[in-house]
Amino acid sequence: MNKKINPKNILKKISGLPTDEQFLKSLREQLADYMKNTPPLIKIKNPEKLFGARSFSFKMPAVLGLIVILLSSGATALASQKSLPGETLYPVKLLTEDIRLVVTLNSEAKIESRIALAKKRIEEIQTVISTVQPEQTTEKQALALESALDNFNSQLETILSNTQKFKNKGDTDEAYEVATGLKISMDNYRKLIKEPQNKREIEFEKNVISSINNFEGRIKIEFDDIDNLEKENMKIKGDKNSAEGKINAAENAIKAVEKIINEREKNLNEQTILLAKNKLIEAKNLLDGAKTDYQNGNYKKAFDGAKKSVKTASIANLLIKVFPEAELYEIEKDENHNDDDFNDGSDDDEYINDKKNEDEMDEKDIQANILKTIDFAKKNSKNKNGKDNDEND
Amino acid sequence: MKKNYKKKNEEMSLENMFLQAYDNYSAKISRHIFFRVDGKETAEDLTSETFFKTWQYLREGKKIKNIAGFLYQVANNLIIDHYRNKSKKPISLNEIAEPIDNSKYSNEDTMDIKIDFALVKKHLDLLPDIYSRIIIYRFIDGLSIAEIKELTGKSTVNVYVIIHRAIKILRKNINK
Repeated sequence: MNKKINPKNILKKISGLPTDEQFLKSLREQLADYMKNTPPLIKIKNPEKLFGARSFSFKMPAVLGLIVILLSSGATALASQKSLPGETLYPVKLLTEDIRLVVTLNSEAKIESRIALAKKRIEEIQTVISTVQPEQTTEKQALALESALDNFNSQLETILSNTQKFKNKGDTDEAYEVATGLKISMDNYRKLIKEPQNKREIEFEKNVISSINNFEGRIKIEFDDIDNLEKENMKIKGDKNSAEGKINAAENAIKAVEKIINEREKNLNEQTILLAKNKLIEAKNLLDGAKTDYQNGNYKKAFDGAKKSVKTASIANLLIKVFPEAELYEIEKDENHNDDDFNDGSDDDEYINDKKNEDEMDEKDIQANILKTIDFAKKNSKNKNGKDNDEND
Repeated sequence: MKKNYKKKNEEMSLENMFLQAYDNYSAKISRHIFFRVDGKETAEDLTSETFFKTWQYLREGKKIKNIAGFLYQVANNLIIDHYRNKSKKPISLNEIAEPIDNSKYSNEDTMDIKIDFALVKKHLDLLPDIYSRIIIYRFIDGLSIAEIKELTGKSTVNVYVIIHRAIKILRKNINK
């Protein structure tokens, strides 16, 4: 009875509960009567203008964007590709990307694109905050930086929702590959963040880092969920069938990776190919071990070995397709993860007990960071010039 | 004669549009309120008041930019007023599970859901208001991050962080 309860599962279950339809029906009638007795006080010419036709719908910009792109010249869209947050053509760039995603039908290619777009956002943010002087930052630019970060979050959010889709289909291997791709991405994104030089950089980078931390935490939860799902599936199918299924999955994954290595070998650098091939050999060895265990009747061991083989093949696949520049990623580090490993920068229990306000907390963090950096800057400048050229933004 | 007809038609349009909004959002709003207050009766009263108040606002010719967001906002204000006027008191299992349409579930399912519901609600109530509100928006109402951002005025990152922290705390407390 020590099974851990996942609040998300309970919330999802409750969210599907039907409401009291009779009450809603009767309230509708009352409301219609009430409106008859209390008609609009003034003459309303265009009720649709008064009454927000816009409800929660965020699909419109993409459609609008399609129209804009179709109407505007291709040259504008092309020129926009080098634009940065705050520049006139930047929104066109984001729209063009959205449209490209809409017309990309292959879901794997979509994920690859989203990972690359999220990386682009971090690079843009870094470029803007390190090249534009704090005192020259316009409001437009600040808002655009926010929207670049929003775009970063939304790309990753969409990728993360794919793991859910795969889990719903029972395809834990695919879910695992997507989650692994995200995990590697997080490491790469983190590497792109430079040391902040002033208050504004600290504030903005704090947001970026907090976003990455948050996704990392959620990816860990995804890995947990995938593991739990696999355990449940194993219970249903039985050890022998599960091991057989996993061995087949490993064989398929290895074949797919061999194919992709052959296809792309000429276009990739030697180191990437070498890393991928090493991973492939590792996957094959694990599979051989799993097959031996299966023949000896050690089905659980066979399942675990085949599972590792699938994961290793996934990493080889990701190295080739998405992260040719990535260093070898040791996924084993994540095998024994738990919630306590995740440090999101606050002690939640204390936080809740004290009932402190979220914004106050953030403000405190920012202030502490600012003081630290100012101190650092002061020491640095004194060492160099004997002068205090403290930032004053 | 023609002019009069047109006037009536315009006014009816506003009413029809509002009824359409009711059809679209009443279930979500009532579930949302129900999850945040104690008891079916209170939830029903506040749901009714949300729609009547919104109509009052509209009939005065005032503009609403986003009807769903506005309804959630009105509901939220009413919930806050409700708690201001009444000190919180513990709720019984029967009371909280009343609006569930039992006919669609077996007895066993219903009891399961009642227990789950009571469990999550109890722990949600211990979270800071903004945490529980965002969790309900996200998981009970099924709103997107962008929608929650609009409703709460928090930044996207803040919303993500709050969801993550709240789930982590709920997970920890529920499993204690």
